[in-house]
This record gives sequence, C-alpha cells and structure tokens, in this order.
Amino acid sequence: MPEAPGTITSVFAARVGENKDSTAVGQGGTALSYRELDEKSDVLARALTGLGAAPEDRVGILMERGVDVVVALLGTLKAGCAYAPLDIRSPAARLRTVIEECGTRLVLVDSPERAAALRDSCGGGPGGVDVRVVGELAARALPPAAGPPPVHPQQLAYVIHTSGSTGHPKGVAISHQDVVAFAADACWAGIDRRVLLQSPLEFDASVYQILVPLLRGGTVVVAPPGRLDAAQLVRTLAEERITSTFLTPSMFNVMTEESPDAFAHGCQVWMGGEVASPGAVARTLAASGPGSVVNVYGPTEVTVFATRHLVTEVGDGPVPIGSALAGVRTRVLDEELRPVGAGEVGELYLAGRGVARGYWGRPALTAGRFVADPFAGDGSRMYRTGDLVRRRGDGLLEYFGRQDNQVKLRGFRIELGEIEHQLTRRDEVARAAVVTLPDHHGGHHLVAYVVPATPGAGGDWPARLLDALRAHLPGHMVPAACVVVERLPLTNNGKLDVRALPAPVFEGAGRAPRNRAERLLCEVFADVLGVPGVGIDDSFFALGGHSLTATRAAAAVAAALGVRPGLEDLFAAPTPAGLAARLADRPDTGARLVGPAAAPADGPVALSHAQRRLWLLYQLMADADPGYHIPLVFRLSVPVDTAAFDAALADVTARHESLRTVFPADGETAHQRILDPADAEVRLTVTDCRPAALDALLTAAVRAPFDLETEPPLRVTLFRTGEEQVLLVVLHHIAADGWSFTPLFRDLSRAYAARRAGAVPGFRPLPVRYRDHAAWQRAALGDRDDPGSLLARQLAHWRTALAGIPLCTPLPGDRPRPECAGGAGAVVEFTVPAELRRELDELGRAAGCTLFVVLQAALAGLLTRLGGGEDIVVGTPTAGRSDPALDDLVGFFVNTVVLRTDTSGNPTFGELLRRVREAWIPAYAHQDVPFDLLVEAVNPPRSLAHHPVFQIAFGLLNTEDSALELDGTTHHWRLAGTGSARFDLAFDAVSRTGADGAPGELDISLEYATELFDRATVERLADRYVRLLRAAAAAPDRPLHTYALDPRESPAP
Amino acid sequence: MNPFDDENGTFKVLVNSEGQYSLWPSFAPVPPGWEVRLDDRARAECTAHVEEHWTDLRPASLVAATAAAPDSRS
Repeated sequence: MPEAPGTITSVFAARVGENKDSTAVGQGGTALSYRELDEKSDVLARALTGLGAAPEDRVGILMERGVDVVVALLGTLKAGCAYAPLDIRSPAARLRTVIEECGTRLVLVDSPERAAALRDSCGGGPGGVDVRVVGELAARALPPAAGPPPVHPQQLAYVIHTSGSTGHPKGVAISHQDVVAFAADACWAGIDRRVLLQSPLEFDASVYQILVPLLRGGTVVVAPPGRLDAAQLVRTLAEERITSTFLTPSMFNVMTEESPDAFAHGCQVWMGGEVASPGAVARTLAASGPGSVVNVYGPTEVTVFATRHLVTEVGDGPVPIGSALAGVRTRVLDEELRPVGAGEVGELYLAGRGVARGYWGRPALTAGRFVADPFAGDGSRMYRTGDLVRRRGDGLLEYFGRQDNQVKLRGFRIELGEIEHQLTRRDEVARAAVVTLPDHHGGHHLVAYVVPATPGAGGDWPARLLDALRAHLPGHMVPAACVVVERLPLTNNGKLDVRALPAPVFEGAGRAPRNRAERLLCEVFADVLGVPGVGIDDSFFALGGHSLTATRAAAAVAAALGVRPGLEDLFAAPTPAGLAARLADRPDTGARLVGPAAAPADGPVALSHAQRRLWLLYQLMADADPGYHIPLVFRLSVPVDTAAFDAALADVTARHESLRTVFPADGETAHQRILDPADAEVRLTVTDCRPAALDALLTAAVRAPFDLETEPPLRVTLFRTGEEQVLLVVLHHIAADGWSFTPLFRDLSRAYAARRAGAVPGFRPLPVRYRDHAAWQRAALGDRDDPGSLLARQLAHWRTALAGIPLCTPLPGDRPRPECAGGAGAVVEFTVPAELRRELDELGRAAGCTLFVVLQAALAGLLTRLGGGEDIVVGTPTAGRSDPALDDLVGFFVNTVVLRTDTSGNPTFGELLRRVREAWIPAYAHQDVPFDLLVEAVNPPRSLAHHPVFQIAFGLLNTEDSALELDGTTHHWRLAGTGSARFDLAFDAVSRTGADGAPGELDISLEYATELFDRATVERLADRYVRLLRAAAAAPDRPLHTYALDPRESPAP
Repeated sequence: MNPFDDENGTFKVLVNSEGQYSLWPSFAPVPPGWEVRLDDRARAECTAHVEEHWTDLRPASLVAATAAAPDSRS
C-alpha cells in the first residue's frame, strides 16, 4: 500500500518495483508496462530539466487523451514541476489566458500540428512559450547525470484552472502529499484494478482516473480519443472490464436511460460534480446491482474528492454526498461561522487532508477562500466551499447546491437544485435544469429547461408540468416559463452549459385571450387594477392586486361572467387563464350579485348592523368614552379662508348623508334620521390660543362627546397659535371609517377650491346612499334562522373557525389586567420606512400574498415571540365595500373579522406567510357577518376585563392617498390619540404614497391600553415589530425564533 | 451571504506559522495558531495588505526545506 506522506514520484517508484511488467496504462492496442512508463517518463523528466524546467515550474499539457498524456504527466512530476492541463477544445484566447495566469513557460503537446498552432497563437520568440512535442522529447536518450533534484512532499503536483465568478480562470495549486494521501484512501481497495480515464485532464476527476491506479499498482485504461457518447462509454466499460470510473450525473443520466445495467459487470461508478438524479440512481441500482453507484462530492480546492456515499437505497430527498474521505474534516457552519443545528442547512467548510496551497499567484483570493480553521487549534486552514449542505440524522451530508447558485428572488433565497429535483422526480421528465434569466420588468425570473422522458412531448405539457410543481413548491419557486429541449447542452467537463441553452420561449407573459371568458377576465383585471393591459398568464397579485381589489375583481367577474368566484378561486388561480379554466365548469347561476340601489323610501331608516353595534356601545358608555371618535389632525401650511371652508363643509355635508345623520333613540334601538342639509350645522370652529395650550385644547376637542341623537357626527376645529395652524377633524365612527377618508377629503378639497374661486363645486351625484347600503345589507345577509341564508352559512363558518380560541391573548403587561377594563389609552406612532415597505411588497408578491398578510404574519410572529402563545387571534377591519359604487361614499361600512394564526413549531417566516394566507382567505371570504353577530355565534365567556374574541387589532389602510388640498398645497392627516383604547393593542397602518407615486412608507399608530402597558414597553414592541419585518424581509427562510428582536441580540443559530 | 464575502464587513488579516495568510471577519474570535497582522479594517484594505505582503504562497517549511526559491509566486 502507498504510504503518506510522500511524493507521487516516490510512491510510483515503489509500484514500479512491485509491478514491473504489469500494464500501467493502455489504450486500444497500445500499452505501457510499469517499467516502460517509468523509463519513458524518466527520459521526459531529464529532457525537461535540460530545457531549464525547475522545481515548482508549471508545465502546460495540451494533449488529446492517450497513453502519452500519462507519460507527460509523470515526466513533469519527476522533473519536480507541476503539470497544468490545458483544454484542447479551448479557443486560443482562453489558452493564452490560462497560460499567462499560471506563468507557464513550457507547454507539452501531442503533435507537431498542435505545436505549430499553439506557437502561432501564443507566440514564439523571446519571452514566448516554449512548445514541445512529448513524443520527440521522450524519444531522446539523455545522460543519467542530468537527473532532476528530489521532490519534496509539499511541492506542487499540478495547477488545475477553474473558472472564477468573474469568468477569469484561477489555478488551484495542489501538492504531492495531498495526492498521495488521496490515493492512499482505503475506499479504492478493490476498484483500483482497471480505472477508465475519460474525464478531460483539466477536470480533476482525471487525477483520480490516472493517479489512483498508478499509485496502487492498477491499470489506467484510456478511453478512445475525442468526444465520447453514451453508447461508446457503455461499450468501453464492458469491453475493458472497467472496475471504476467517474461520470458527471448529466452523462450518467443519459447512459443509464438506455443502459441502466452498464455497471453490472462489477464496475463502480463514482458520480459527482453536479446533483445526482435520484431516479437515474434508483434504476441503475436496480439493474447494475448494489455497490455500483457512489455519489461523490469534492471541490478542486480540496484535492479531487472530499466526501462520498455508497448508495444503497434512494429515498425521497436528494442522494446524500455522504461522509468524508480519510483525513478530510467537514464542518457545516452558519453565517457567523458557528456550527449549524442538527439537520439545518449551512455552508460546507473542508479541512484536513487535501486542502490546496491556494490559487496560483493570487494571495488575496487565497486568503479569502482558504481561511483560518477555528476548530483545529493548530494554525491550519479550511476551505470554504460555497456549497450548502445539511447533515442528516445519520450523519450523512446532503448537498443543497451552490450558495451563489442559490438565487435570491424577491427576498426569497431559492435553491435551483430543489426545483430541479421536483421536476426530475417525475416520471415524464428525463432531465431538467432551472436557471434565472432577466425578465422584461428589469428583474429576474426562473426558467425551467426540461428533457421529456418520451420524445415529442409538447402542447400544454410544459404548462401542466408547472401546474404540477405548484402542488409541491411555494409560489416563488415555480418557474415563470418551462422550455422543452431535446437535450441539455454540456460543457467539456460534462456540466450544464447554461450559455448554450436556447432563449426561453414564453408561453406565458403577454399571451392574448383565447376565448370570451379569458377576454372578460383580462378586462376585469386591467380595470380593477388600473393597468393598461393584462395577459392571460399575468397574476392578479403580481400586478399589484390585494384583498380589497380581489373582492372587487370577484364582484366584477360575477357581473361579467355570471359566475361569482370565491376569493379562494382567485388566490388558487390568480391568472385569467387559470381562473377561466377553474370557473369553466360552473353553471352560470344568473345570480349576478347586484349592489345596493337607491331606494325611494324616505322616513325612518333602520340602522345597519355596524351602526347598531356602535349605537349600543354609545348607549352603554354614555358620553364618557371617545374610543370611537376618529380624530384627524392636519398641520396646515397655508392660511384658511374660513368663509370658503364653511361653505365647503356645507357642500360636503350635503353630499354625504352620513355626515348629517342623527340617531334618535327608538325604545331599545334607534333609527337613522337624515337631516336636511340646511339643518345640519357643521361649521368650522376657530380657536386662537397660545402654543403651550394647543395640546390640551386638542385633546379636549378630540374627547368632547357627540350627542348622536341630535348632532351631526362631524366636528371641525381650526387652532391658531400665531406660529402654526392645526386643523382637527373629528368624526364619529358611526358615520365614517378609514376608507371614507379618500372621498371625504377629496370632496372637501374640491369644494374648498371651488368656493375660494367664488364658484359652487360641480359634484357628480352619488349613485347610492348609505341608507341604501344598510337596507341592502339586511336583505343580502338574510335571516340567520334560514340555514340557506348568507348569514347562517357565514356564521357556521365562524363557529368552526374560532372554536377553542384562547379567552384572552396573554401578553406580558406592565401591570395585571383589572377586572373591569377602564378603556384608558394612548398612542405610539412609528414608521415602516419606504425602502423596507417595498421589500415587504416584494416579499408578498413572491409568496403570492398581500402586504397585509405579510404585516399580519409579522404581528402574529411577534406576539408569539413575546409570550402570546401559539394560537394568535387578531381582529382586523375589512372595508365592507364590495361594490365599486360604494367607494365614493363617506359612511360606516367597515366590518371586523377575526384572523386566527397557528404559529407553533417555529415555522420559517415563509411558512408563517403561507399559514396566515391560508387563514386569511376563508376569513375574508366570510367577512359579511357583522361582528356583533359573530361574537354571539362564537359565544366566548363574557368578561368586562377585555374585548370579546380578540384583544389585539390590526388594520391596514391602503386606499389611494387621502389628503386635504388647500390652495394647491397637499396636507396629510395624522391620527390623534383619543385617550382611549378600544383594545389591548391596536395597530392602524396607513400606506403612504411616495413623491414619485410609488408606494411609500407605512405610518403606524399603535393604540394601547394604559392600564396594561407603559409607553416604553409599547415603544419597544413597535421597535421589535419593525426589526422583525426587516429581518424577515432579508431572510424569510429563517425559523421565526431565530430572528433578532433587539439591537444587541445577535440572531440565534 | 458568507461573512468572508461581506464587502461592507470589518476584517482582520491573520498569519500562521507557515506564513499563510487568512482574511478573518472581526466579529469572530481569532483562532489559536494565528496571529493578527492587521486589525479591524475594511475588506479592501485587508486584501490589499495580503497582496502586498504574501508574495510567496509556498508554506514556510517548504521554503526552508528547499534551498533555492526561484520564481515561486508567479
């Protein structure tokens, strides 16, 4: 057995002594015995020394595969030089680059023709490369006195060039002792007798194919020259009784498709360099027998192979790359260079045997890739592979692809290999490759290339394949296009040649509608989303759709097609093509949902459900509770024309009935009485005050009770301090909601502008009134005792969905909860900056969900992290405006639904998004139940200590920006605190529009119960919320409990 | 991202007894067997230092064992 450490030359000399007449290397009819090879390489070595070759000089080898290659290699090593293989298929420019990169002054070639060609391209003359034909050098006899100096084990044996990320080659410098140790590994015992050399010399698998047999007394069987096809290889393996060789999975897959029994004669194939295909391995094991396939892994930088796995069975996951070869140490580390937890994916670092000297002539590059080994303790180095692996429970490593092949699309790290695996595990796919390509929006997207198992597959097969992927992969991992190819182009090294792939033919983007349904759906999408054109493969959500617009779209689709899709349909099939197919077999019910229509009736008008709930609360709390006041504050930068403003207020109150509706008591309940515009005295109150008094006056004005029975539910006050002007608009919630701000301030701005110009605003009449909605809502919901009614069906949903919810979300407060909630509150304001907001938008788009879902998921995750348990219940407002006709109305349409999220099991943020989305769709689809009826149906134990069903509320107002424009100057509102708290915590997020019209920051006001929390606690909570959002946007694939919540806290492993 | 590739990170330059250099992220403790040549600098400054000072990639023990040291870097 060879002994390490030593040199290749000394170990070879020992083998020559033992095996003088056995065949060392052969090809077809040509063969050299150990003695012949020794003599020929000796002659060559002396010739090289005679030419001035010194220890550590790099000698280029540019030769077709043949017996002489082995002579050239050994001769070079014996001369003390390192061989530097050159690729005979490389263009001259690339050859020059490699030759210059490693400073080669002497190149060995196999023929005078090649010598001439190389001299032409790399120049003879002074300073040029000396090109020599091996056959000529090795034929000369030189005096033995010219022998080269002895070789040191740390001397270089070869420099193999790999392509760097910039495309410039880098030479990996490997020493004798590393090769000797590699060849001494016990894993070669028994398979080293006849090893096939078929890999190109510039691929380091050839080191195994040449030096493992030669340093162990076996035979190098050189495959026929030229490019080999699968059939030739299969034939050679059998005819030459090959005991082992190396193949790339690409070649292996092709070979074993035709001949899964190619290794049945006792051959062991070592396969590596790419991800193995489990299907191909399985069929090979079945046909060639156990022990025939070894999956192997090894970067050139750690001497050929670092880990290997003798495959005995193929499971669902990737084929493992196994465990380390002798002397190699594997470490799986996280981004902080700490070992990752059991079963987690991390980057593989290799230490011990075989770690290269470095990159030839590249000290900085070397110092950045071959780094101090913090675990060795002896000053040795480790190589960081850039490969992602996971250590399974049984200790075997699984390969997850290149870290830099791990693309990051829209915030998600995506492992291309995982998508490829999902494709190739399907019987109808022979081979697959997934790459990222630029899309036409300036971003990137995934494109899959597939080779069908049966030729001729086409038609909608690629589309069906992608559909099938959707069942196994999250949306962001499903390729945008799937291209059928006859074969995957390979590089000389047998790896996928990405640049040779055909340009993707987009079945998708921009496809025009093919039938009436698709055309209507394209129109509806374009209309609802306000985009110029929609193709049948464009996703509603990728174009900017969200839950509110989804409801719109559903209503519009119902109107257009006569079939009303549920929101589930739109989420499951968000493209016109998909949705049309999904709805195709549903009967046209003819039951187009008709929106509210103006009813002629005058006289007393019944309350809507929402109004009734607020009115009851109003009665209960009397005038003590301003919790349902909506105080909006504008800091004005222009003086107000009070007369024009008064007139404008009158215009707007006349236009919107809600603003002049009073609620006279009517026994147990009340009714709506709409005042005549002339009787609705809503006027601007002007208060001049000292700056110091402003806050107190504002607070008082915010909290001043409304008399809902007699007064309009709107008050407007202008505070003037001499330094500033603050406009306070207080609405009672019974008359308006967040979605009312847009029409309210748009109309007020227009009226003010008109009045300032001495004109009357020319409003287009509103098609419906709030009271029409109230009547329509009652009719649409139906009777809850009628099991077929909308109300009964939705109530049934909520009873099931909310069964067993916690009585109260346990959040660690600063004080114990009083038995009876007093309702005192305060507000902390904070902002999600625009840049983070856009990342969150992207994150949502990639995950097929809305910004709202992203924000909710982070809230649920945060509550869990803070001790709120793993069954998170949050109340959230829904707009309640299912018909576009309602958009222009001021009124109390909003309803509250309950979102219940299971946060157990330390899910990744991506998984949490999926869960929230899954929970949100049915919640949203059953949003019509008025919240008070929902509470009755769920019937939780009543308590005066907290809000029923949920104690934490979260709302996102993402309508178009609502602002007040006075004399051409835009003023944004800010929610003032009411001094009350409706819930323990209530997040009200408002989406702002940036100056460029793009989505801007999110302003969040967080109302909290001061009985439970101190301000500092809530500020910290807000801070942690933003921190969690940021961390999740950066790395949505991390488990929830690993995100750092506090500034000094480093992320957990 | 791998910490060694962080263009905005802070790094050290370490050297071992073989005269081999290693870039090292400042946040991690210096491994035993290595000495700090450059402390807490920008990545570019560290790589420039390595380029300037590590002119012979051969391990010190090899240099010592072989008398001549011809053209060993490039």
